[in-house]
Amino acid sequence: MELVFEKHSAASGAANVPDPGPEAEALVPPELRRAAPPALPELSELDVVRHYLALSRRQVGVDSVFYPLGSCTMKYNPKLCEEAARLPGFARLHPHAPDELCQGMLALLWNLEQRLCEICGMDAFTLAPMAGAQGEWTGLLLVRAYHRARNDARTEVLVPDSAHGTNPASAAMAGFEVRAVASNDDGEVDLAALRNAVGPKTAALMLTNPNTLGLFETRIREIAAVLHQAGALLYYDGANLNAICGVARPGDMGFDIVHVNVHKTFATPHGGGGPGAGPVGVKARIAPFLPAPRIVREGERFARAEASPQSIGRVGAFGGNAGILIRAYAYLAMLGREGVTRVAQHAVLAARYLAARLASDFPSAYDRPCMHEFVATPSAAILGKGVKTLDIAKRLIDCGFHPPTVYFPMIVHEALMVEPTETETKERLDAFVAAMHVIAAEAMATPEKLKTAPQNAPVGRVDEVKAARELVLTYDMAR
Amino acid sequence: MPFVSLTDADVEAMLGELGLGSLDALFAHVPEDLRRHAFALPPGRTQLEVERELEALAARNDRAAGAACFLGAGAYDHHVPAALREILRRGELYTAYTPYQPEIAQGMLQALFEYQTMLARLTGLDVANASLYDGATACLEALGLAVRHTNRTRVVVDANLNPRWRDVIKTGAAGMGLTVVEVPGGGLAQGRDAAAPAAAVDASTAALLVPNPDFFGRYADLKALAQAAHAHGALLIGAAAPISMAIFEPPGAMGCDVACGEGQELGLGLSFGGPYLGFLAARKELVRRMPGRLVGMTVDSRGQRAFTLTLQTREQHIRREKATSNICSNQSLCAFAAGLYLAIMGREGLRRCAAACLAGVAALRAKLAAIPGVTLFPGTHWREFVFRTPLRAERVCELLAAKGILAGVPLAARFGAGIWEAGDVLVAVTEKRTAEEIDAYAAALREAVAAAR
Repeated sequence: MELVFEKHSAASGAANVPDPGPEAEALVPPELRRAAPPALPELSELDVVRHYLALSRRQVGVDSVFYPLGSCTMKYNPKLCEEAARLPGFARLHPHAPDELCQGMLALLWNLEQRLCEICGMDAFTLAPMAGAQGEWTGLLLVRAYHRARNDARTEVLVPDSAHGTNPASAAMAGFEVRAVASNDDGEVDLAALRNAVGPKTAALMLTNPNTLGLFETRIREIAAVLHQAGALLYYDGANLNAICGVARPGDMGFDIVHVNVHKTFATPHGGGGPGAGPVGVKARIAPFLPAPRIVREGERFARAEASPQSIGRVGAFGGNAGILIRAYAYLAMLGREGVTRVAQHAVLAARYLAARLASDFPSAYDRPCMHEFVATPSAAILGKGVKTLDIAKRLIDCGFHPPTVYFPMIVHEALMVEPTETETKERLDAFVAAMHVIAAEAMATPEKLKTAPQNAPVGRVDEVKAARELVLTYDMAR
Repeated sequence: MPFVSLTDADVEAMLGELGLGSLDALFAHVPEDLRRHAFALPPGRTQLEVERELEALAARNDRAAGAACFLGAGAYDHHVPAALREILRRGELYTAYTPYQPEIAQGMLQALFEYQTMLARLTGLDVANASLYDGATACLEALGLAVRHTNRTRVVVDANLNPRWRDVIKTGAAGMGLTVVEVPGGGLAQGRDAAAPAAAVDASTAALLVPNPDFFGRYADLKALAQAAHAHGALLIGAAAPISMAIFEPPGAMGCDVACGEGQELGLGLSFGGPYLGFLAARKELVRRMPGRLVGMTVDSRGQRAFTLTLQTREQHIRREKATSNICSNQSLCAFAAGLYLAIMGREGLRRCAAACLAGVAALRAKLAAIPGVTLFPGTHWREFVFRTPLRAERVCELLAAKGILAGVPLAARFGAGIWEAGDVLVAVTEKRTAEEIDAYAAALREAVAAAR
């Protein structure tokens, strides 16, 4: 398909804006004036709309297909939430508007903080972090500030070897050395290895629960005790909160700091990669270190307060991705108490059901009951045909499904990580199972069909090696 | 039950298949005492009920959202074209994940590639990434890029950068091993000053970060600063405003190695501070040190043009603690919207928008200059400027708010101590402000100041 730069029309969108005349530009001294105008597209509004509509047809989202992308919680994004964020009273509200005139917005955010506290078992929340990884970074800066305030300069953060890449990356960005902790044969944190790793230098352990293998860390209380006895903190990566939301709380398990991914658990859309939001919750003893702004309630009035002198500072220009947080609030308001629990129950049921029904061709990497997701591998017979997990993923595209996450976690060979979420029907789950078994049969009979997939996508298999080797990052680099 | 799609019969059948008697049995391996909490959450409500609640909450902000908005200081009330709002509601786009499967994500990938191209052209640099969180974090990441490139840790920051952005740099500095040196970039009466920033660069400096326009809306020629930075092997980073680049010399042409900043003005609306868009553009020699996602052009198995995420070996999911940044989810849909905005506006539309800001600022300044007791400050102002009255700035803002005008940001009340005084208001004029609103602003301010004299 053509690029926007390869299309031209005489009429352009300039008609939207009245021309203020040449006098205005004459106010700019010659040495500050741009020599030649930027080469932006010149298209009629209709041609722009057609271009972007054509692009949208070359894209799939949860609204298009079943999207069982493990660790990403690709659930349905309720449309009321979209409408809510676009109400003029929210969408046209300037972040520097005085607090007296934003009481509705502040009330919503304050209430969202309270609900997240209750769901996670925490005492205080900040909504400022703009994504999960920024939540991790914020949380680790809190860890750092907490220890420093006690004159305890701890330098190491532990992460399980199955952890998402953002965990070690966030820890490094917050100034910590990263140390990996091995998983045991059950796919859980190896307690002996943890005890060996924990010491006076340990600032925190970062953990998802259920972990990235979709397995609940059954010895979580012992893990917490090991950390706390050594004076370290336990950090909860909320990537997998959908599995336990409304069932069990990280705070009750012994976690001291959590971040939640509202774009996973609380149904806000992923936007093709973002924006999300990564609120961070803490136990009371860590609350003084939370970033500004803090939302406070004084009677019936809400206000934004500067943080305490012990605060880590600000993590963004304003108070976070409010437009996304509105969606999360609306979702939680509709779900309510029973709905939140039902989400986790159905998410786990769907995953457990798929794991069982796929097991003959795609056995789970760990022979244990999974939570909201599971990690499988193609059977030895399939791999024996030279078929890779990647080929199975690409063949699924031809069958009308978004593939699961592949090659993650790194500790499982040829991993295929499936997370169906609670929003799919049984009919859809069964259709996915059927497609996977057909693909398994194809792998045995006609493996070429998998290796040359996809055939029914907007483009054939994309050459990612060439992209990295012959770097073309703009249209001008291509010419 | 909302947003679960399994019927009671489905649940029964599926539990039966698993040999389980109840939904609770799914959690049997979660220690029992961890499952005892009675969640104190309100009961669920229907869509209609929640819609009504949200409409009522939104309506409580209507006085601010419906006012004539002269607020800036990092977020600006520019027009959002209807065609943009319409396209952004395509479910294929906004309900997609990060494009890890390029064959079914060509729409988002191509749009981001086009965005990268437009930002590179706008900033006068070679490459741009596919978004960071906001202007503040883009500055922090740009400093990190300079540190990696130069193997030095000292960074010099012009103190006339947005104070909130300076706060974020301070938050991140220690963990990233940065030593931040803030230098004065010129007082309000004196005008912008390149001498102090230039003099602060030395052989241990990784980068000099300079805003253009600065926090007070003033433009400056950065070429001498580029020379000063480059003479010491440091990078010059320009924190810039995208729309202004339609008319003003862009960072790349002034010798900046990196441009970064806030892309909110490119069609994103206000939304109480987010989601916005951090942009980052650079010379192509720096690309392997850049943070954030990059989309590259390549071919598919049939030789057709195709797009994919590339240089992922810089990123956290491959490099883990050695990655150039921890960023994973970014602001892709905002970058998509910014590209769409630039396509709708086109070269001429963006020029007119930038010129309308210049004209609006000039018109308001001319009217305020005629009011006894109001002080203006010199400089080439694009979209924003500071004025001073004998009243406290927050009092001025209160009086004008009562007349439906959000007059600006009271600097001392909002940002604490700085080079400003208690009477200083930072005011922004976008293309949305009409001549009538500007007249009403001046009349209201005249009245407020006169009443106080």
